[in-house]
Amino acid sequence: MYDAILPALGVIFSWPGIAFLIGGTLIGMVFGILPGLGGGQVLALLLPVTFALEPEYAIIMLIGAAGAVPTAGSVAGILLNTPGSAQNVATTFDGYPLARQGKAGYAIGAAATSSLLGALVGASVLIMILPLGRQIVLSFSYPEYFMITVMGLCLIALLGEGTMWKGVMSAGLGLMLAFVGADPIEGLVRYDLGTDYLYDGIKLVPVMIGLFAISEALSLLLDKKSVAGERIEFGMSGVWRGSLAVFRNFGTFLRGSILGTLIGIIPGVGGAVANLIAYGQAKATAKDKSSFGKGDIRGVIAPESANNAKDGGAFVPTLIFGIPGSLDMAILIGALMVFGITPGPRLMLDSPDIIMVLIGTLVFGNVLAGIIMLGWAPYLARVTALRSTTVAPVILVLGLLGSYATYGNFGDMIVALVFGLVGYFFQAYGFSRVALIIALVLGGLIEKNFYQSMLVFGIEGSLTRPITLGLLLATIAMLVYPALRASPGALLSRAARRSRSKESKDEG
Amino acid sequence: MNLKLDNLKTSLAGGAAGLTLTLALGVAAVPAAAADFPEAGSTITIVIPNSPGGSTDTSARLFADALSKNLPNQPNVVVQNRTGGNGMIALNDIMRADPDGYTLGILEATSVVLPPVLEGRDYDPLSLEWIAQINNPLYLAVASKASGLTSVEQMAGTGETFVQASTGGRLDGSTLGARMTGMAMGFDVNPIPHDGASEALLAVIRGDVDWMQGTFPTIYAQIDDVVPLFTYTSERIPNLPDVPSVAELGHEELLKLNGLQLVLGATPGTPDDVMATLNAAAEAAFMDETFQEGMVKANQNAEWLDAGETRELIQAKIDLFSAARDELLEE
Repeated sequence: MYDAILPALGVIFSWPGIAFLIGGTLIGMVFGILPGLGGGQVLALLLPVTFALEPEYAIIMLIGAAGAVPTAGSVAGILLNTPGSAQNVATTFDGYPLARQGKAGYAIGAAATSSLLGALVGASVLIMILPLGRQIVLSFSYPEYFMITVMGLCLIALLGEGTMWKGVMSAGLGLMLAFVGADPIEGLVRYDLGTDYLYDGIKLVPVMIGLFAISEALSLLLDKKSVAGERIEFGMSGVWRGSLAVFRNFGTFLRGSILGTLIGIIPGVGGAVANLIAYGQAKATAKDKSSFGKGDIRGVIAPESANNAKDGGAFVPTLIFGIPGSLDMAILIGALMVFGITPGPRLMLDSPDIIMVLIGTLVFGNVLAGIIMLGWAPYLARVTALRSTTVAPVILVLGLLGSYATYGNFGDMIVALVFGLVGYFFQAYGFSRVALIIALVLGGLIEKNFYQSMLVFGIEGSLTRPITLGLLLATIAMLVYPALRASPGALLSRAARRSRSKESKDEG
Repeated sequence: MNLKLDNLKTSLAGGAAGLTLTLALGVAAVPAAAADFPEAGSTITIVIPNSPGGSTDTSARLFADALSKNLPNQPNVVVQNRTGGNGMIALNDIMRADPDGYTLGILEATSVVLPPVLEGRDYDPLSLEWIAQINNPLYLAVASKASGLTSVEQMAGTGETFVQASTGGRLDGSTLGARMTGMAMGFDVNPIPHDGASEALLAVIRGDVDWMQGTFPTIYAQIDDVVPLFTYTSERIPNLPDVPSVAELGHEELLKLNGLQLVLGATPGTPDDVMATLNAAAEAAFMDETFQEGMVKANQNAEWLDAGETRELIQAKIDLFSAARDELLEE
């Protein structure tokens, strides 16, 4: 298999392969930047075009485009608090505060560098474990999926946005919303208000756009200030500092990348979770957590390394079992099938060249996207200096367009607007938008995996599986560790400090 | 039912569709006569309820290209993915479009039949102007190695319950097909739903479930890791000469209840002359070499039924599912 590496590089770097790589990457970046549009849409658009191409070039163009999406998706998240896709939600937690401090270039530099290097880690791990991929994928069943999603839900406690009770209430609302629509077992429709629209439940993309983008546009309009206020760093120096920060926090980067790859391997969990879990662990393992959520560069590095690394991991189930971990992968499998290439155990034996072209494109497409973004960063950062009356309408239009474009459904725009208002009031009254979105992402998965675990294994059967038990213990440790580390006295004084600072905030 | 909202949505969708059509045609929206159907430079939309990338999408796109070539004036034929609502969103688009032949649908036959039969949805599957069946992927049942099953004889007539990796809830079309098979052969089916056939297949390979049903393209790449039980065909298939067909097992009627037959239809009330043009073009498109080659490459099974035969297929599904309705809805 490994002797196919050099010929694959030959295909990618010779004419016209290189042209498809550059073209695909640029198109992917445009889709990544626009909120609501992501890998699924760009692949669906390119799919008919690739039917006319040789399979290698089709793969180069498709993977180049899909791989560039998460890299570029961080841009709008950092500059405008508008995550380009669900994969970039966690990047906004610290990326946007950095932009507000005038350090957008610094944040984009760190995001581009950790994306680029994260993809390299993901692809390297992919090449190394592909021969073992089968065993890894098969060792995860319903109870393991369930515990991973529960672990993700418990991260809400670590994120600590607002007070605990408001966090719990926000997450509860998110879970309630996650249970709208056809239930995964009987197919019975719940809370659909008699419309076909709610049959599939509340969709993630319009909610995300509403909560983050539209609510931000509303508050920008009401504040009448630019995103960054007065102090803005222009030029390349901030961007380079951002790049350098990735190496200064190499541990954070590496943990994010490896977590991202591992989560990518597990089918059905996917990119929306990888960036959140990476952010959560970065915060949980940091010695000094106080700056998280207020513009800590580690909060940008962890999710951005994870969301690019996860693409490498996601190829494992896709190539070995033909199981798409995401819409992107589903479309890619469709494209491969049109060329008569069926993903499966035989693919590695029959067409190792195709696999290597695929991995090579993933690596070099990401390198290209990272470099382009580093070059653009100083110019992109200027967006934060624009007046809010200029920026806010643009966010509104892009946000509504993005929510419509994902599925072409008018109802999605209404959902985006409603959650724009919800997001605005959440911010104003200290509820947690992040908790709501995590619960909405995970609620459906938790429900489905719980049912499947109970129907097939039962409680005892589920808990006696070693990986499930390990994940359960890790989750408990994650929850109690912060409490154990702090003595009761320290906890009390911290609580007192918090309530004092809240009072002063309320007065201000 | 929230009729008002539905109507509003329809009129909005209809308005938008009409606007696009008018823009595309560059003329006022006067019902087209067959003589000028389809007009030069016009666009025909094939609505499908699936997202891009799956076998329905692939078949529809291959067919769209062939249809464009074989219609008079070579109009643009585009595929529109209208996912959601268990297929109802796409079906509504087709049912409520102007009956002028410019909106067609490629749908999975069972999914059109079930909502009125089981959920009491208010439409008649036979009211659509059916044109043809264009694809009928080979469909088969396989067991997991861990289940210890080696042939369907170990299941049939036992009355035992076998855990099935399904791709939808208990009342989903594919699950119902499997349950009807269980009823006919004399065993119970306990379906565990999964997101799609490949995830279901993974559960079979892991050995977490006893068996599943799915299409040949999905299962064949992993055929060494599962135990084929029987195929939904009238005869054995060349790739699996040792595996009995369902007809051989004495249950030919199950052929009409299982499988993912893709059928092409137009809006109810489309004029006969327009339908005649579409029927002729669809047959020519089906015979088109590029379409046939593309379908073979994509592991699909292009199988033609003409307009009359397609109606018969739909009617048979209605009759068979209606007869079993009470038993299926039990519990």
